[in-house]
Amino acid sequence: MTESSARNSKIAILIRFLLIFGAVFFLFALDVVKGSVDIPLTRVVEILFSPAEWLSETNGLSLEQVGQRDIIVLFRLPRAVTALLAGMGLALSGLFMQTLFRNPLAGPSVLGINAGANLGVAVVVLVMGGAAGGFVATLPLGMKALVTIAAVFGAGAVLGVVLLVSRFIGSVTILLLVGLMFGYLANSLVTLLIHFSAAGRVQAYLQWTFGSFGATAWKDIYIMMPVIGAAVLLGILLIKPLNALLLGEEYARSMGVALIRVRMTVIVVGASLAGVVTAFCGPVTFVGVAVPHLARGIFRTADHRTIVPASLLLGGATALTADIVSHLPGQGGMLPLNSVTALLGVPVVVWVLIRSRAGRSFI
Amino acid sequence: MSFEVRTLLKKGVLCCSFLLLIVGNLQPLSAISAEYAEGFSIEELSGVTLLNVHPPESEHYNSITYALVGRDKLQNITPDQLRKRFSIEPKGSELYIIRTPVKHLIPLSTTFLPPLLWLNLDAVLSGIDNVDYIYSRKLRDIINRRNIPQVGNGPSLDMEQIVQLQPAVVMANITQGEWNVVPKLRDASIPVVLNGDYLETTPLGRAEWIKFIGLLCGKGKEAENQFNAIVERYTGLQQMVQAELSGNTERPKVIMNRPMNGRWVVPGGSGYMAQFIEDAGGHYLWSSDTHSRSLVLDAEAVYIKARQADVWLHQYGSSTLQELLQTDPRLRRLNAFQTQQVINNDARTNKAGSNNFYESGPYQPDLILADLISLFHPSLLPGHSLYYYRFLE
Repeated sequence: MTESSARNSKIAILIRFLLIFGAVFFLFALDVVKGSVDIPLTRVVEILFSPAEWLSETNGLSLEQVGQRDIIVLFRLPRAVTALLAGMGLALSGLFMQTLFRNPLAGPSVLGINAGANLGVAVVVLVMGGAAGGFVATLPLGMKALVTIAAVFGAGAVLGVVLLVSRFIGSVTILLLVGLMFGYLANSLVTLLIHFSAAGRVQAYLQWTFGSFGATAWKDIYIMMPVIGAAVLLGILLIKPLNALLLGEEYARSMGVALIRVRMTVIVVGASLAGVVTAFCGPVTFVGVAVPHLARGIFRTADHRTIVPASLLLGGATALTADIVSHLPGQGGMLPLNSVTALLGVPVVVWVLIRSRAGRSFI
Repeated sequence: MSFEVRTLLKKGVLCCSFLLLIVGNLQPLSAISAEYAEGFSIEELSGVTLLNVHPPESEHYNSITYALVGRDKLQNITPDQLRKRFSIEPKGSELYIIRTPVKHLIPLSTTFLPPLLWLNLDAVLSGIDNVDYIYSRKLRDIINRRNIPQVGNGPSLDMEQIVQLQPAVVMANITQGEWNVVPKLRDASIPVVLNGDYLETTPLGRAEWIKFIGLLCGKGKEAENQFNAIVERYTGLQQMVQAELSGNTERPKVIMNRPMNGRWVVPGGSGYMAQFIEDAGGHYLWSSDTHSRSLVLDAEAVYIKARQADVWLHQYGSSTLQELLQTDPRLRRLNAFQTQQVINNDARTNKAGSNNFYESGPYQPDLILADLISLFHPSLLPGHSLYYYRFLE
């Protein structure tokens, strides 16, 4: 590769990043501007750029203005931030699992990691649970922190077991099947818990499994943000060893990568991301498995220096798009988030399957 | 035979009455009919009572006719023979013969229990779904004392136990039929009677199903009397509210339920709860909606309307205002929260979580209405103490 073509490809990558960054910004803005309640664009901009208005209760504002302010500040902004964070977290979690398992189909919802997080949530809510008939979204703050920890542990437990099995079995297919089995196991335990819980909770649980970015208030984001932020920072430290892992474990070891420590860190990061997102948004499917492929497809590389930031941005963009689409019906109606993410995600996964069959997989 | 003779005699007497000649029907004077319920109708033939259950179109069931035939009458008659003999028009494809009065009944829903208790029919209980779902201490005592077996419901229904108990009738909710309960039990020669009380869109329509239960168990007259008393009390309260409201009293704006996972499910504007609020002199903020089912709405769309509401009903799961705030701090901004008009229907709930509102409430609409009136217009019912409802503190 000549020096000029290397520079050209660097510029091409930069342009793509700028475009995707622009798309994320645009989608975030669109998610805040569009919603079930019609608020004029000028009014939205006015609210966003007058922070003084955010804090004041009502002084000097008409009843309608206060309502609009509340909708933007208390409903749409937290929802958009949650979508962004959740999309980033799930995409990064999926990317790491795909590299760790050297498997293009790995992802939180495929390997049973989401199911593990579900189980953690269900144990806290249904067994230790408060009297609340609702699910995570209606729990008091202390309980939410506990739920988050349980979800991370549930996700980590399944991830750890699957990884342990992968030490003994080389077959990708069997590994996926094992992940699937553990997913079923976790789900059946959840079903058992629900079976022995009060009848009203079944409905609440079902609602929760639909997935939603709208369940969070700002105080929930104060829990989500640091966990996801710390996991992303840890993830950035993993870029080099993960790149070495792409070329095989032998190669990585010869490069001086401490395999066990890297694996443990990846598990902690992957489980924290999948766990915290599941705790607050429900088991959101497909974003994790689909987005890394989207990133590799757009940037034509598997280099983590590019794919980690690309997956983060594209994950945020995908989640924001799904959120916008789920609010499309109008008149206050909405679609379940999980059906939207699957509708967007399935074509990508199918596309990957067809490509990898043709022997042109990126991983 | 004697029945036909008696009917002929009665017809002769009736002929004397010019008024009834115009009506010209075969029904005896004492015929019980369903006036408020849309889900069932009653036809009295000579010696046979037909209960026609009409599930709503959305449920994809045909109309079902239950022919109540006295145990000692028309022995060994088949449904087809019965159709021919009484020239019953095929209202639905299904007709089942139930021998009455039913002496052994397994009700698969808690709401069927209070009417049985009030009609002194607790002796017919040969099984129940699950004692944990029951609030009424009296019912729990009866169940414990008589050691009435529990058979579960839905997917965990214990079919073998039901077959072993050999009840005369199993009474199920219309949607429970979907769990293959109905065809399986019929294969075992156990008739299943589908009760659609909860599908009724009006409070009196729901309560009228006491007649359905009463007729099955041979207490039709008592059930009618009890229902008439309910109607009298309910419409009395309703008329009092109407009279008061004509004097320009403002109707408080009412919202219901709470946001969950970014969605806010609200009852449809033409349903059961909307009717209660209307009758109690409240203005339900979705009253112009035409659905009887619940609406799943985006939380922000409900919030913008809910902010101005005066009264907020049914916050499932939170037992104090503080708890409610912890789950969602945004709710503090609702006007009803500021003025402490946050009211839940869980005043009568036991430790296991069974709420009496859903157990006896459907058959005591007058009590629910009185509660709501005293909440919306305290001056109309001074000294009323809330029965199902309580203020969150």
